[in-house]
Amino acid sequence: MVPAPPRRGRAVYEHPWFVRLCHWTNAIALSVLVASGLLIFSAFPSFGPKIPQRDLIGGVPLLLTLGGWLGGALQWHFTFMWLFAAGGLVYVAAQCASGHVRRVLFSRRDIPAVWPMVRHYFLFGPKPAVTGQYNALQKLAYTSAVLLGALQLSTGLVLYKPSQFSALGVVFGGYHRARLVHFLGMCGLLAFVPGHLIMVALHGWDNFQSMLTGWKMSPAYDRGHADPDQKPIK
Amino acid sequence: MPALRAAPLSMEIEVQALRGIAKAVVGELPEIFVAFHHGPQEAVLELLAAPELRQRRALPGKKLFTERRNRTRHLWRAIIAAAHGSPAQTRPGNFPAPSGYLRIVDREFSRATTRRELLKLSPVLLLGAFAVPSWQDRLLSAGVRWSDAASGAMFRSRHPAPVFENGDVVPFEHFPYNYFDVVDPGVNLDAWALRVGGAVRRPGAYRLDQIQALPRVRQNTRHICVEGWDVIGRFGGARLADFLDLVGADPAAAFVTVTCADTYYESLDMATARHAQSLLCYEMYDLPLDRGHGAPLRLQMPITLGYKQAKYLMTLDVQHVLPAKRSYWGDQGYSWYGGV
Repeated sequence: MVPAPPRRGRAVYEHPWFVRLCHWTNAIALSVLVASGLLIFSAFPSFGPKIPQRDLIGGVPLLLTLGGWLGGALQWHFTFMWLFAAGGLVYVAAQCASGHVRRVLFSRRDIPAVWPMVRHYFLFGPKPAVTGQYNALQKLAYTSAVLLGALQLSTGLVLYKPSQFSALGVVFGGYHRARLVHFLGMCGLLAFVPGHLIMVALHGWDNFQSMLTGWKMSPAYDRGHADPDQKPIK
Repeated sequence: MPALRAAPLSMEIEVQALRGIAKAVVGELPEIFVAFHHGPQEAVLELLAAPELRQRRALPGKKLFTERRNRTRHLWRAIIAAAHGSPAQTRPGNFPAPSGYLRIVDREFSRATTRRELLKLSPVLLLGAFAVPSWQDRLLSAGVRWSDAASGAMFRSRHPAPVFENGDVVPFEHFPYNYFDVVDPGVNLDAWALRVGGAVRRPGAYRLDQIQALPRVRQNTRHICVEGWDVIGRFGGARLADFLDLVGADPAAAFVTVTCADTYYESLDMATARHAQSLLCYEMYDLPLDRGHGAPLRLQMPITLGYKQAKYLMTLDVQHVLPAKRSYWGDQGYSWYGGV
């Protein structure tokens, strides 16, 4: 009996190894840094003077925090900040070295495509043609997330070593403002996460799997290319 | 070859046509299917291992990529040249460099490939060690020790902490009293003397007037608490470095340890202790230090966190090795180094 010829479908190797590794270590590091950071913040939940102190929040629910007490939270923060920094630096360096950066970096040419994508996602507008691995809005989100990460590292450095890096502190308007920017930067990263998770969930298992294995089955942007075995994708 | 015309960038070229081109141009790629497509911003050249090649299992996907890379680069240029009818179009800059855009496409070997690719993420599992209760403390302590070592390495002994104008100093009554036990441990100020020992040539008890005879430094600096608040205050005192010279500290010693009138204790690395802004402080706001802020003598160092700046000093020792009791808060889990 002649074996059936292998069925050929389409799969695209989307995410190189280093991208996936950095993605997951950064996801863990970011969670740890946010949870421990909230506990650190709750030790002095203000951005102004010590006296008179104005607390901005009644208190962070302990369930959302990590470390148990200020010293423990600092231990988590000071340990995982290295992982976060390493993950970010390796990611950016490897993206640049491999040329993959061109797929994901938001550039001036993407600006016209942002509004149609926003209209599609949020205002039920028509779906713009998908031509690349990432659409303009994705590129904008991912590029901003990397910039926010860089902002967190630099403001974090100012807070960790305000004397050693006093010049960098001046860039952020001093120690107090650096603390505020560090907090707002965290809010920015947190704002990115739910959108990111919802979009991944909406786009299904293939999308999630590609961040695990690198391979994406039947990507939408691959549609219609001449492959006789290719079933049309709805 | 229907698709071969000087085409707009959105043109798609049939696999068969490209196969023809491949044969015609390179002459030796019959075993490879090529799919070529591009959008307005990126161009993608995909290679498909032909069935006969797959059956021989000669080349898994990645191998094919690396081994054929140079040849496919020629192919790429040839295809672009053919599609546009002009080799000038292959100049760099007209298209992104191909290497980042080459993808191997085949579901046949994707099972094994995806398994292999998934295993490559196994280093992430190492982070699970942080979830093991008996390892957690040790790992986090190691993390803090690493941070301390990095902090010591990045310390610039000649770099001053920021100093401020008199107008930036907070009013004295807005400078908080921070203490761990009692705000005033009841030091007998008249009988007080700092007992100095360890690796020094002139050990003994040093009275406050001996310390005040050293050059007086007054500085408006930021006092930063580990909790996250800070105050700019005005401090006066003798440089710890001058005092270490006065008592004849061994230049080879690495640490300075102090104990306090309460049960507090602290230690400093020598680079921190000898920084020009590290003071044995006996003045705040040009007045003698009050009891709540550590009378008669405290450490005042704008290059460290507040908990390193011990108050109500009673003893000072120069040490080669850190004692087991290093630092009141450092021993409970805060960073021992505590430098900012």
